[in-house]
Amino acid sequence: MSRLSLYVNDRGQCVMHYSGFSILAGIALFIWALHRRLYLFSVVALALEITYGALVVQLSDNVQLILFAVQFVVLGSVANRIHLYLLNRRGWLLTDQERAAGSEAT
Amino acid sequence: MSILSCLDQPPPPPEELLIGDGLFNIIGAMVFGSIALVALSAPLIRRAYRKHVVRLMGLDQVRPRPPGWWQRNAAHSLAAAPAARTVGSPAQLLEQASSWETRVTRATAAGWLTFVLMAWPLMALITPDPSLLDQLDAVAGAGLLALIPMFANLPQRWKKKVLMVSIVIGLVVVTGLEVAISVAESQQPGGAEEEASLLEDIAAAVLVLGLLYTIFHRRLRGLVFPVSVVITVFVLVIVLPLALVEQHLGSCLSGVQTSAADTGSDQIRSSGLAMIFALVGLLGLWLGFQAVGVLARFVERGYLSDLSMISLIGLGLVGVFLVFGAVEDTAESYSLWVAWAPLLWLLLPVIVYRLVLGKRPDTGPGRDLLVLRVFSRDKKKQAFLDELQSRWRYIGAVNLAGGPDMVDLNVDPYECAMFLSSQLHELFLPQALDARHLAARFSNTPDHEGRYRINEMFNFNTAWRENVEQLILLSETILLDVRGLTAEREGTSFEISLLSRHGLLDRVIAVGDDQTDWQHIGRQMEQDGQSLQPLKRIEESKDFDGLIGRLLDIGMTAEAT
Repeated sequence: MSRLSLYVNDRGQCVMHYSGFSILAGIALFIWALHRRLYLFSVVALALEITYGALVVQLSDNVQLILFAVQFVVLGSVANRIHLYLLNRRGWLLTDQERAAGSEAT
Repeated sequence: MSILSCLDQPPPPPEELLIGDGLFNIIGAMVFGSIALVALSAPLIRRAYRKHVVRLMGLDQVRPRPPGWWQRNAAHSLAAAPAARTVGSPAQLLEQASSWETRVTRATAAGWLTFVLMAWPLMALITPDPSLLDQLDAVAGAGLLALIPMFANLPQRWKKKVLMVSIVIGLVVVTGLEVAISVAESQQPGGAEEEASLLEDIAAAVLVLGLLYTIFHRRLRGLVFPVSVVITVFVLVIVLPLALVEQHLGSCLSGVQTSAADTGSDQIRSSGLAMIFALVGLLGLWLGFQAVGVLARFVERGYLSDLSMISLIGLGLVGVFLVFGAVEDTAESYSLWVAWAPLLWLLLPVIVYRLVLGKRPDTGPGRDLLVLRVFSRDKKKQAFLDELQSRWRYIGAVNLAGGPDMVDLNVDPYECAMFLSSQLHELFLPQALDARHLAARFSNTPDHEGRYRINEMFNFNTAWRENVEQLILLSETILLDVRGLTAEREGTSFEISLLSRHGLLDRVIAVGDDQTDWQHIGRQMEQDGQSLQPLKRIEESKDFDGLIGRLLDIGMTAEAT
């Protein structure tokens, strides 16, 4: 299971970060980016996805299917790493992290 | 050929337009379909919410939050409470709570009646040449459908049975009127079609009633309503501008589907349109979240309670179904301003509700109740807590540690909006707070309707022990719900230990059941130098007045000492 962490910047904004594979990013990168509050990234991803879709639609169905599978695996694998890279580059600091053992219940 | 040359070409005929024909029926159907989808997926949303809460509760702090986070977070805290506190004997406080309940009941009934009577002039405006029976049918239909939203705002103790009886009576009245209309119209030319229309109308009423009953379900409504608001705004933001511009865009919209045979300019146009649709969709989502945020702020500032807000949204949905369902298929004969009719319909009942409520109760902070409990999703246990908190909130605020079990009962619009926008973690305390800062996070003044808040305190794993300890020290009245408590429930055992260690057992009433391991509780207390003997213990029962009276008694004794 992916590990949940929270990052905070100097202004007090706090965001969640999940490690590992992201199914949402594999299917719709721009929605994943919105969910992570990466607004500019989201608009760029949307433009790229639409352009990519307009190009891919001209190919045969089998090729489209293979390309979608490749896109799903690649984007799903790298999205959370990109998020972590962007957080670190912008100076966000890790403040809270999930333990592998899980939570306590009362 | 230019990509904009499509603007010069004639638009498709009306029947081929995307949504130009039967616009209002389409909007009504889309809103209905979307909300039905939300209702169906609500258990999944609830599961995701619960799972997320559990994960957040398991977080450990690895570095303190910067001052900026605390400043931002302080913006969410509520206005300072006035110093004066509600005074009176337990009997007086119970009487005051009862009078406030009656006041809300009276105002709700008046608002419902106004909503129902407003159906008469509104239907006269929307439906061409309505007969007297049509008018009566509209009034009866509005009355029937508005029953469920109205009952959400009424006291809990008797509403289920009365609601069922009212729905049956309403269905009988509406069916009778529909039959009368059908008989009257069958005597005119084209009467055979009316028989089919009668069945359709009754089926539609039953369908909408079923949907309303589902979305108002106690365990679902906290999540369903905010999501419904987001979806309704999203649908309106997409559909209404499209309806406005569709006829002025020539043939541009007719090429949305891209295929291999399209020319380069067609593909660019299609991609551009897809981008515009996606951006408008994002704008719709953003506005939907803003709408939920506005409603949440209304609740936070006490203009509305969480319950009356749910009723209000429910009435709005009934208005959308009735207005958009009544508009005939010939959409071109209606102005787009009809889309605002449901909002106008809501306005007068809201005004009447506020007028009948009268002035805000002139009172200070109430008698707060801290509920310490075993986290449980057992329906019977939750029903007891729900009934208790729904009554106590006319006396004072109910404070609880937030947990996954409360997802069934206490998700308010603000929490839901935070969940939907991936910000639920902002509600959690990452580290221990001192008493002053912790107290400032809880609202202890009533809203305009006289209801106090149900305050939930969410904590990360590294903060809950200290914060629960502070909360216990701050409380004068504590309900210790140990139904189902066994030695394995370490959290509640820790709380019992805190109560013993601080010598606060005289502020506590413990509610147990046949599963409660009293011996374990006794051992726990003995470890901290106390015994089980002086603890006031009761078994779970339906005598809520008795329980509340005893809780008020011990609260006043604690205050006096």
